[in-house]
Amino acid sequence: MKKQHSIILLFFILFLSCRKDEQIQKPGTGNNLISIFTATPYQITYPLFWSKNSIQIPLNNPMTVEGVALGRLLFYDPILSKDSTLSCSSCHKLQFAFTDTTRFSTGITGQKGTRNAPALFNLGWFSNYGLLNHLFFWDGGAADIESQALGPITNPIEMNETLFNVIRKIKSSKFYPQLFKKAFGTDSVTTQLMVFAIAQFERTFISGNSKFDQGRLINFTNLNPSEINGLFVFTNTSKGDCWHCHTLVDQSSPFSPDFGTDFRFHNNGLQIIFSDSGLARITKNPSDMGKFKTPSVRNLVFTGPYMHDGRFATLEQVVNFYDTMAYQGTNADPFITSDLHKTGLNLSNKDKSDLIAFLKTLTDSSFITNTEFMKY
Amino acid sequence: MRKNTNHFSRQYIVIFSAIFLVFSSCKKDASTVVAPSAYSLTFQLSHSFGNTVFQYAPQKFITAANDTLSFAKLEYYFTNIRLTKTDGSVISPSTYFLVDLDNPSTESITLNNIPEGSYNKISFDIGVDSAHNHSGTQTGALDPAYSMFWTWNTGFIFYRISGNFSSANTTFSLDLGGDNNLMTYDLPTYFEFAKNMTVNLNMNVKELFQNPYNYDLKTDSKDIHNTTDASIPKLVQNAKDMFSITLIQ
Repeated sequence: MKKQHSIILLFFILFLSCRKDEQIQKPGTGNNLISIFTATPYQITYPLFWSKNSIQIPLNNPMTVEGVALGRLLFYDPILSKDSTLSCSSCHKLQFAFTDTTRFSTGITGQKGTRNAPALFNLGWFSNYGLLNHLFFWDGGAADIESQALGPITNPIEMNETLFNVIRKIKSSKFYPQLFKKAFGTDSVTTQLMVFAIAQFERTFISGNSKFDQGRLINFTNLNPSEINGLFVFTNTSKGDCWHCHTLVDQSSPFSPDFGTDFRFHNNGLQIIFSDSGLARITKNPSDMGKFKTPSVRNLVFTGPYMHDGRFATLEQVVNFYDTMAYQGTNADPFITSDLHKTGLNLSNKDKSDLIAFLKTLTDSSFITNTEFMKY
Repeated sequence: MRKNTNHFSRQYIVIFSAIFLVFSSCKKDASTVVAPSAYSLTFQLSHSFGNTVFQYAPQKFITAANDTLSFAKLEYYFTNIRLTKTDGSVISPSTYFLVDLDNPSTESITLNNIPEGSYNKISFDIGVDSAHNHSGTQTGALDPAYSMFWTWNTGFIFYRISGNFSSANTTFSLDLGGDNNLMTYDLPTYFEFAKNMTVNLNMNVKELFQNPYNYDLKTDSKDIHNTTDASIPKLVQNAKDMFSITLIQ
């Protein structure tokens, strides 16, 4: 079989040989003949406001209907864990915008981690806006969506399985090998193709249909006065000033990202002693101590508890944290330590409750009920 | 599984040779088209500790810093072999191999269809070049399933050596990786290539722990699992003298 692949690949290379250099498939980067067999291209449906802001998809992992379907099966399949008790979906539950409601999720051995499971939506845009090679995990430890999946699978306190074992189990399944063939046109089941499929499925998690989004094109005439004031608090630099990190209605951008995150890493002053070094774990740069990836403010009603360590159970606690800003440590983000906010936001009670009312307009109920995301 | 790797890699060599040919043929003013030959060049790797054959425990070795070591694991990426001809041209088949001493077949690496000619330098890397180090989840020898990959900090472990030291039952475990720590080797030599040939290449593991730094596991890091540990530059510097060509025939 492999010899046949070589021959097909050779023909492919010969075919492309006099085109631009970057079209040549490079050995080791693992392009798997994707371009010359026929799978059905997957058409992403974008929310109206993002129709001109499509996600960047890796050239070697184009999205196909078959690939997404395979990823969907794998996402919900507990064979990815050592004792077949946990799947990706055990901690990333659709009804909570693909997170769970516990502070720290429990792995197969009953141990808990030290970070809150992140919600999963609008992940594809990290490649457009994120920090190169540091796109996923709270601390940017994963370079891309594909490689992110390797972490929880192999982590001893999460799914605790070796990649060899996962691939062995997939290969010996009755149905997976033929589904891999349909999705990728090859008989070989590899680690790469497994995470490629999962990533394809995860890229379909697009959430942009909230009351806020519906109001985006009609000047927010659909929001009530309380929510309107909350939007003002959110975006006004001398009020909440939330939008610098939780990007929304950024007037400077023609296709305003509106993702509720800047896809970057910040220290929000949460830790006085860095029990978790965050981005600095990866970069070893002291100035990155305590920086974590900005989570999106979208779908907040589903995604609590909040912060990288899930320390706040409610939105009220989160708003109070920023409002009083009991920050005493080093390294806090300039947006946090600016003169305006040195002593906290000092919002009125009405502003605080209006802010929360506004945040709730970012709820996309159609996302968590989308049957395309459910277990087959 | 490891056999698979070689198989894959050999496939890549064939493919890459073809790409090379195709590239050459597309250049409008290609001065010389390097034709691949029917001959192969094999790298036969051996490992020593000083003048003694390198072996896993219970065999013990003494470093320049007077640590007594026994070894449990030695595994590394042997990549990007570059062969320089006397006319200055360079043959560089895309080569990614994982050498694992638990699997002796990985210590023999064969490159097919190497062009005939006079060669005066053999170069290669220990580790994975930046482009492939940041290309996420890949295949063949670069499959993360070989566990020479940090899944919580995407990137390859270039060189892994572990075992016990100082007779006390204390372990050491050194995983070297990171773009800055790619170990590049240029070994001058001379050979006429007009038949199948074998290059015997020896890694002297003792050199990892000496010259210029007497690496002392009692004071230097004995467990390295990131790309920025303060002791890494010492090991990378020391490693520069690790390889020698013992025979080409």
